[in-house]
Amino acid sequence: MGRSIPLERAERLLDLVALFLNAREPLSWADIQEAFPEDYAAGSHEASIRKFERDKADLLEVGIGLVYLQGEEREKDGYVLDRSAYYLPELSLRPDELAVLYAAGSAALAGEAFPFREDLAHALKKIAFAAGDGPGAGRDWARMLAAERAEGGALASRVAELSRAIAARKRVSLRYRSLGRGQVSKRDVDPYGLVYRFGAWILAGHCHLRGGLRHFRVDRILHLHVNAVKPRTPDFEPPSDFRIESIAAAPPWQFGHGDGFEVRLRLSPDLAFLAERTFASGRVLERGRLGVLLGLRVSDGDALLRAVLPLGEGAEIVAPEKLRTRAREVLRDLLERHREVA
Amino acid sequence: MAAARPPRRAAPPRRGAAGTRPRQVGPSDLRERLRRLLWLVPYVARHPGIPIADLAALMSMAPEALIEELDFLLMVGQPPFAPDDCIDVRVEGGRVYVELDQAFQKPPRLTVFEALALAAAAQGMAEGDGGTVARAVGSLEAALPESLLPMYRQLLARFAVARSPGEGETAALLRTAIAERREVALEYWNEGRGELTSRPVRPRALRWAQGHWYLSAFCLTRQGDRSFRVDRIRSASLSRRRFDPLPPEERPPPGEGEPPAPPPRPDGERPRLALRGGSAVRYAEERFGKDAVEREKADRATLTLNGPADAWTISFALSFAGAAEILAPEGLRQEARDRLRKTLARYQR
Repeated sequence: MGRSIPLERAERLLDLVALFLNAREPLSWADIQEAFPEDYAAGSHEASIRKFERDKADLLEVGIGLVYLQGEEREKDGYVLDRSAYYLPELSLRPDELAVLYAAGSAALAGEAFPFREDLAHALKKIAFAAGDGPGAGRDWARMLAAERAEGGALASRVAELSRAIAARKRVSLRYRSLGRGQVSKRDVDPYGLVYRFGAWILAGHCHLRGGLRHFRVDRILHLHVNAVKPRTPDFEPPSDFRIESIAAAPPWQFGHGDGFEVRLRLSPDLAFLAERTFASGRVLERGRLGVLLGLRVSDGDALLRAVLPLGEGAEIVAPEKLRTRAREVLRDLLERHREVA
Repeated sequence: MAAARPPRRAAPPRRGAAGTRPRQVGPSDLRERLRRLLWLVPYVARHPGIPIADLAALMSMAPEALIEELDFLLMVGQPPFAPDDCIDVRVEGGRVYVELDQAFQKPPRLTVFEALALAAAAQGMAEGDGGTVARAVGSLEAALPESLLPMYRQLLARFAVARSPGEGETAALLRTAIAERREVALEYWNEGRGELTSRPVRPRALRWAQGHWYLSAFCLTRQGDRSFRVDRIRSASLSRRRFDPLPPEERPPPGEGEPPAPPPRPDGERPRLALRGGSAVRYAEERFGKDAVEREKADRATLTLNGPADAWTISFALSFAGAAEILAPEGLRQEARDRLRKTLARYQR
């Protein structure tokens, strides 16, 4: 016998989960109706079915799939919840692996925005469950989860909306303020991916205005609209070879749009180690007493200057002459200005 | 166990019947709540008697809201809702207990988006650390059902946190040093002074902020707490010298995810930079806020910094590649002039 009044939805869904986890055999529609008479049997047949379908969809969103099984000969037809797929399996994470997930999770949750942040918090809770009772474990996890920012700002909601658009492959329209000219333009973009680099979230996608792959800093998006038509049907298919990693790994001087050119950069012995750090995208052409000579592929010369000039006399652009001249002019002009009385 | 079980209310009051209308919730609130409850029940079952404050912290909830949620759980059970078919939650002396049938002994598995978000965050951590990150991400993947892997992998190619090249090995060594409280000799590139310095340090913690690892350590040369950007450490070697637990940090550590900031300084000493060009002005406003930037025209402004180290300021000004000039303090302006002269000499050969 079921309850006599309809249940609050969260309650009904939890009750459904309990019913299915304890079921010994598939449950027919009649069984389910019998268990929830006020919910699934009080209205019209169609309304009841719709209600159940919506409940099933909500459960699926949180990773719980009810499937209908056609029984073999003498078995019963009906819905089942696959218990082996329901429960969190043993994760057997080593302490150092837990530490990495802990560090990654705390940084991501404490930051201003992160894709699928709510999901991330749930993932960490599940990891905390699986991690068991290491010394101080519970307290540490609690501290980390407490660092989660309760209210996200504009950036957080932009990142959240874009993440969903990327996953569902829905086109977005942006009003975007570019830093270079400071102009606001309207762009239709097929969002391919999101990457966090140099302290900012970057959207990569096909820009219909420019007819090519472009990058947009999410904090420079003034207005965002996700195509709401047919939310379950993708608007585009990203190129199969698209990997956000290649954008994540690209240094700023490879973000220009023209054809790239080759730059030779000399680093003093003190700075030679930067060949494996900041300038790891380059090829080492020479290494010796004088330091390192690197070959770098560059499409935005100014961006390279912004990385090289702060290093002072320990870093020198050797070629091409055009960029070397530009560096010399910038330095000469700055020196002149610093000689004047401020 | 059955004997110890306190008597259950014969018929838990129904929320709707008690006259309080259930709050209307949107679909995402509903899912959020479902996930919360499906985790909470097994967690409490595994940690019987967990203090309500600890549980609230884990749930990022206020204790009062948590207690309401626990009340709600009393109504959950398995049809036909005989007393023994319901979840029995008790709060006694500020501690939480739950009795339940085996169905809720573990939380549900990770969803695609849960695994995705955590994997994307973890992959941004570091490389070359002996494969720890790769193994951790592998374990997450292994926890997903086979049928969801294609979708998970497809999505993982779309979300990333960029790594700084070359940080991994240093970070791994520093983690060991922190765990074993061993001194480390650093060769550190001081960007501001433009020189390599050797420093023995006692490492405290690694913090990850804005795409970089930072080491916070007690510097034995300076006899004070210092922060080091890990990708600026040319080499680090682990010494055999162990140290006693360090006293608390002199200044409160930055919030999680915040880069370390130098102490604020009095108004008169703050460095001021003249900016030229619209993009430099807009960049400064974006990074430091409009209050720090005094516009004269759309493409001319003065930026007042809230106290980065002097030497750092010169490097920072140079990173504008000509669009920033140091106005004050005068000593810093002179230092910048010397550095510009030396650097220019390289280009006049």
